[in-house]
Amino acid sequence: MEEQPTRWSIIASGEGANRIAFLYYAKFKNPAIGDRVLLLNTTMADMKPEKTFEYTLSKDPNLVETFEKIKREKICIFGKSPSGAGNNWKVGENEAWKDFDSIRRYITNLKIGGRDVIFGICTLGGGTGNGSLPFIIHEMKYGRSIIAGGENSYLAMSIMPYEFEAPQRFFNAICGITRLLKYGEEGKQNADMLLLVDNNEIEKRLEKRDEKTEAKEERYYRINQEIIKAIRMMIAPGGRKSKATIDVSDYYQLPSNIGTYHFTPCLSMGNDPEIIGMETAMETAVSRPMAPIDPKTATMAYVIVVAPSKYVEDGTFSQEGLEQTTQDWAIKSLAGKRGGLLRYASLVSSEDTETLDVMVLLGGFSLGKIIGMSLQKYYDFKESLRVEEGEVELLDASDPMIRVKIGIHDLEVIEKRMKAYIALTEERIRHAQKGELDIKKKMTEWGFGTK
Amino acid sequence: MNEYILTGAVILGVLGAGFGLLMVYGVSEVVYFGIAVTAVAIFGALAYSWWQTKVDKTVETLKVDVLMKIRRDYAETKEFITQAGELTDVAPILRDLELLKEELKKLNLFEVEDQNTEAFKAYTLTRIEKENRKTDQKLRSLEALAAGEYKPRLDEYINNLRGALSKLQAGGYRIQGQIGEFGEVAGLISKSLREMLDKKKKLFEKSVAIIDLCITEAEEICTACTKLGDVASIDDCIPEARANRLEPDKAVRLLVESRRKLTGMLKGTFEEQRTQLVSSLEEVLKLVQGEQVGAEWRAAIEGLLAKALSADDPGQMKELQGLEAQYKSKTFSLISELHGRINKLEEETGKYYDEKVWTPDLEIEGLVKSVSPRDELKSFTAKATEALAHLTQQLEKDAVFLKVIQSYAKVEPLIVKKLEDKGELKAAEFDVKYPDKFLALYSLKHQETTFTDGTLAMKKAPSKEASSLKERLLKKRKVQ
Repeated sequence: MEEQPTRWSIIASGEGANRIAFLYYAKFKNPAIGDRVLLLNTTMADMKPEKTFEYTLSKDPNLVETFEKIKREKICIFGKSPSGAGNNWKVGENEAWKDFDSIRRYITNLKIGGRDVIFGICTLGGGTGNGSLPFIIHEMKYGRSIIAGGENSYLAMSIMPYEFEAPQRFFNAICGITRLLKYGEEGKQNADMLLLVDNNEIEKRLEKRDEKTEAKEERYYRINQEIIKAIRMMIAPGGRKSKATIDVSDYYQLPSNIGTYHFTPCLSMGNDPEIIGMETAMETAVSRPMAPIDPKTATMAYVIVVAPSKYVEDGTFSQEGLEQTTQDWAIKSLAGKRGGLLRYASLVSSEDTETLDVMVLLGGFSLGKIIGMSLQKYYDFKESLRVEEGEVELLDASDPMIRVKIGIHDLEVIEKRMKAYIALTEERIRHAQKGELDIKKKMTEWGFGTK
Repeated sequence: MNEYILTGAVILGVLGAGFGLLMVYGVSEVVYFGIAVTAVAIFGALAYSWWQTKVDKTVETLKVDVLMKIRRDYAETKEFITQAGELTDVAPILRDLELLKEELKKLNLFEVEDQNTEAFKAYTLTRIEKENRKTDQKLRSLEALAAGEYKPRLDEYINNLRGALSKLQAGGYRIQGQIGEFGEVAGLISKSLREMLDKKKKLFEKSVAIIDLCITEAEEICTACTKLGDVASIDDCIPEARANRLEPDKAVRLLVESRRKLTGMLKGTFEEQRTQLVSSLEEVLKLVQGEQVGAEWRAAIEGLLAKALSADDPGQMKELQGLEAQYKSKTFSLISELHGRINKLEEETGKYYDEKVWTPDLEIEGLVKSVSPRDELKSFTAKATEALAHLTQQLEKDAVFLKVIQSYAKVEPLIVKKLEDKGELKAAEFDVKYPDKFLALYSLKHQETTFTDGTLAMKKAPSKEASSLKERLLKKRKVQ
């Protein structure tokens, strides 16, 4: 019986995520996804082309037709707030909770099967996506509604705010990351795999243009295009053309067991296969991760290589070669001296490309830089909040109508969970960096060489 | 007979009608009726007489037509049988034909004047048509007789023609296609004498056309030989063959003889030129095997080589000369194209002119300019192959270097990182193709590094003592 490829659905919540999801869906017809795309927002105002998609549509007027189709069938406006969630993640979460029925109906229309992948996208600085996505994932995994259950996988891609953004957005970001990692009363694992992406880092990868003359919309558009490349590479392997049988569950099951399941994509695309070898492509990719990390603290690496089929057929690139190269590379590049804790490599032979494209998903790295860049602003904002009767009121400076209360205890829980996760991550890194076992001793323990 | 019955019935009918009118209307009405009937009768009789005369005239015309047909058929049959007499004896058949004619004359059914005779006029059309059918039958049977005599002779004729054409082909003339067409016509079924005569005519025309072709070919070969020696003794064979083109045997003999002599004269020169051309093509083919040149060019040169190798008859001298011209033209075009491509590539690669990184081939311009299709074959080939060798080599080099330039931006950060990590980077440890090119390029762009013996390294900063000494020496020089 012919093996069916893994089915994917995309759920994008919030304006920024909507732009990314729409661009991906409109430009790349992927049979693995088909029509299973859902854009969520809390206000229709955000969905008007002149607000959210204007620049994208102006770049390619052919996308207008697709946008009209999406607008009719794939957009869910949830919540009762007339002004949306503003910059409050708690408002976003509350709106999703109150109006979950609307969201549930749209999700049902995606016709998710029992072993699908749900790929959630949100930006971390805002309120809608950051607030709602963790809640939605939790409900789909553990809830009791009709859309809950099954053996689906939940991957979440979340995008860090720009360094110039306001402190509230970094407050939202830390809360959002934590809630995507752990959620609910019991603090269960939420997303099976969290992909962290930082706009600042991506911007560094882009070809330099004159900052004074390049419109910011063009810059954001190019950043989104980079993010989409990572999404495409995620969905590429695991299908019929893959040389190894990596499946989505291979991505997240073991990291979940290890307890650290955050990753960041590192891309190296458009390499000339006659010039650049796999190791160089991998090194190039890792030299430019999409989040601010120290790659030498990464304990996990998933390597996905897409090569032109003629070079696979003539043996220039092979699965065996890739695995050897990955091992050699991992020993030099990952935490410790033995190539980290977890590693997979997959070679995809493609007739649609002339270049060698590589994505390395680095995982389990130290969150020091990410949290470090956010922490000052997190505390700047948190300490400005007025606490009354164990609660703080979160206001949106741009819209006084948007206000919500959050218990101090909830914030403490968020911080506690984040710290616990960080501690586990650091512990795993130390474990990977530990010296080698005394093999002789261990062999004796196992019953060898005893007299 | 019918006319009388009809007339009688009409008269009775009229009388009956008159009587009826009399009984009904009285005498006066009957008088009017009577006058009307009389008038109708008179006009009716007139019309009938005119029509009858006309019919009589048509029958006469038809009778004469049949008479003319008998004459024509006879003449035609006589013509065909006479034609058959070219190959076979038809005298007895012609005698029978003559007898038939006498019989017809006796019946006044042959001469043109017979149509005016009383005997002819007395014949009914039916009778004359019957005689025509009898005559036609007799003529057909005489034709069939003649066809029976003619067929074996025709077969012999066709075989003779075939033999003659085969001699021409064996003599080296390139008439394979035309002989095939001849064979197709010869293979057509012909049963009647007329069909056989038509077939003979066509075959004769075809063979004359083939002979004309061979005459043209012989003249071309003769022209080619003119430069080599005295062709006078052979020369008159060709006009004589042309004068006797309608006599296949003679023409073939002359043509075969002239070709034999001409090709004998050409043989040495042909062999020499062919060998030289083949050798030139092989040399060029070796140089165009690289990927950069392109499959179409290779195919073109291979095609010319195959044609040159298959030319084995000195009579193909003209074709050989044509091949030589094509070889020069193609090779020259190839050189121009490669030169153009290199110039385009070097717009980019030329920015990195450095001994270790990239250098142009300064000889190419001169070599390309020296190649001219007007040169004789050996000289042309020598210059062309030298130019091609340089061009293909440089093209390969430029294409590779362009790839390096295009990939450099991706690779540079890695080089920086590896240098920072280890202080040096060996080409052998760098997982790219042409690592020495990348490192040499890096060194060119970053003057603080050196690339020597396959290793990229930071230049050593001068020691404090050395810097201090240098400074003191410079000061001293200023003072002096």
